[in-house]
Amino acid sequence: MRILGIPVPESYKPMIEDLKHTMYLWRKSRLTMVGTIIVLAFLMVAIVAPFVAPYDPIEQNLKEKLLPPSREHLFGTDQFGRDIFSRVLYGSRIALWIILLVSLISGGVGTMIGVFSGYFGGIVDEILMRITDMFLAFPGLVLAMAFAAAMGPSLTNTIIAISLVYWTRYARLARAEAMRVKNMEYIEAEKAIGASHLRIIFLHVLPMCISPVLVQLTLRMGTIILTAAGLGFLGLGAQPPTPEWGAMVSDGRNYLVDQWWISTFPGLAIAIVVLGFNLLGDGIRDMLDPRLRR
Amino acid sequence: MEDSKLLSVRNLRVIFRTYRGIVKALNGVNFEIGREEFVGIVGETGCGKSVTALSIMRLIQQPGEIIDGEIIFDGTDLLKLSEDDMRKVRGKEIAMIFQEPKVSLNPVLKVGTQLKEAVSIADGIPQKSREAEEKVMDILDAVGLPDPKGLMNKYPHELSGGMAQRVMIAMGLLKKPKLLIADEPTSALDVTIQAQILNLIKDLVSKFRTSVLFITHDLGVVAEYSDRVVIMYAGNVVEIGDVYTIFRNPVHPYTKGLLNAVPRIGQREPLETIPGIVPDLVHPPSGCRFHPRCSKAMEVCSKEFPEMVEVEKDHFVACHLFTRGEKNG
Repeated sequence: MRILGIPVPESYKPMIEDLKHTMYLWRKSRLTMVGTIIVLAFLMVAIVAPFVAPYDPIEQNLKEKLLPPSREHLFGTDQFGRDIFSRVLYGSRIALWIILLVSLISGGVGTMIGVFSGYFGGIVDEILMRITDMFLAFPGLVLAMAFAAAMGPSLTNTIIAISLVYWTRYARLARAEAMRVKNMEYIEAEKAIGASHLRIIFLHVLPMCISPVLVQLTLRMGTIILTAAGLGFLGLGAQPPTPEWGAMVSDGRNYLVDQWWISTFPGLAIAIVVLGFNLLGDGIRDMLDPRLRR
Repeated sequence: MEDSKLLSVRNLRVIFRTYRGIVKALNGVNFEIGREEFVGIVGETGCGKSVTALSIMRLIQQPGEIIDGEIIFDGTDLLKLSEDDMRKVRGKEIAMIFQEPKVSLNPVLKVGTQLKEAVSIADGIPQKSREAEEKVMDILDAVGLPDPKGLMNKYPHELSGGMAQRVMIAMGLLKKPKLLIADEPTSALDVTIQAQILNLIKDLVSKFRTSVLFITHDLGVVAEYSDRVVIMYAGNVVEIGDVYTIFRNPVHPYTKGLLNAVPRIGQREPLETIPGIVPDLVHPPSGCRFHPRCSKAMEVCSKEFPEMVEVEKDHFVACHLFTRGEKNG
């Protein structure tokens, strides 16, 4: 077998080699590895939380309230005697749930709106993009707060509120991609065999728009956690006694001077996980950039 | 008489609104295609050949717009159809193949998938069915592609230009359309492959009893394959006639110029050319659009637009040299 005139052994598989190169780049970048490990650890914790957590995250035990970190309670207990270590572990599940749903909803809605806007252009584009502009005109957290406050605080509403704020970015990306693809000649050829708009959009335009949106989604996961925690801290997110990290930080505010552990440990969890996602996202972006690849 | 024609384009006018002004791309185009007829449209780059083809398919995109005219296909005016009805015409009644076969296929889907998609659009049979697969195999066999099964599993970049164009022809002829529009289907191919592709088109259309509208700037190809020839210049049809008349007895000065500009084997003198360049269609010349370059231009040419006249049976020309003659005689 020959590639570009250079003889290569029969066993040479370009896709496998490419994958190997990607893995090499991955291992070579220390920060990306750190991010990967943090995110993997986060996922693991979310999966095994019920088996590892020593206490029920919600059950109150007022006899043991406000205990400092010790062997029985690794991260201490809060004002209701709940074990903070267990609550932090369970909190990872809630954070993961939020990331998943927000990514799905905002990514899905944004991509669809963007693709329709870019494909049809004209008045459809104008209307959809001006609506997008309206959403982009507000600072993300403020808009999410407004939605969450209007719908009433709960975990579901937090997810809806954050999705409502973050779809704009994906809409813009998908629109740009759709505008590029719709002018390709194979789309014209597709029209010439009598394909309907919906068929062209779903089979030929949409698949082309997904990859930049996916990259952007991974880059935004840290931000989603931060926003969710922010809403939780302000009391607009998940309601007590749900072990949501933002709400836990908020719980410990009044005790910060004497019982520092109540706020500190969930706060650290937020910081570490967001750092992990950001490092991983940056790494992925660098690896996908052809100019930085070799 | 009217009924015998498959397609008649009457007074078709297309404009493009651009920043520089309105481009009058087609300025009243008239021609007809009979059943099972092979018609070639010839003209320079930018004279409106492709715009004519896309107008027939109603695939003119913004900022282009069809502002006037009729396109009567098999008794119905395509310009009056709803978008939904027009979609049923595309691919089934009228098919089109494009200049660049390799970019006319979706680069990320397998050839088989795309052909099966075309089958399912045309016949409404499920894309994944065995029936669709068999139909695709049959048509691939018909366009002379070896190993249809292996080919269906290939991506467009693995095909050569000639193979890709055969695939496009297969896609175009799946439903045995009444009219095939071929927009310079061989310009992107090697000369040796060109002949194969052209012969293939010619064979298949006579087998399927399809008419062809063939767009090219290659006079040799037209002479070889067409029954009738339409010569276009700057958005107008200047001469129509059957292929022998046009090549033996051209009457329009532009057609004569075109034919003189073709080199002949053994020719010693320098090649004749038509002076000047194609006019800017934002500000086209008044009257006959060819008059600034025409060696026989008269006063009336810059004032009045020449009407189409029949100089002999089935030989039409739009030139004042002949409208004058008629009036005087």
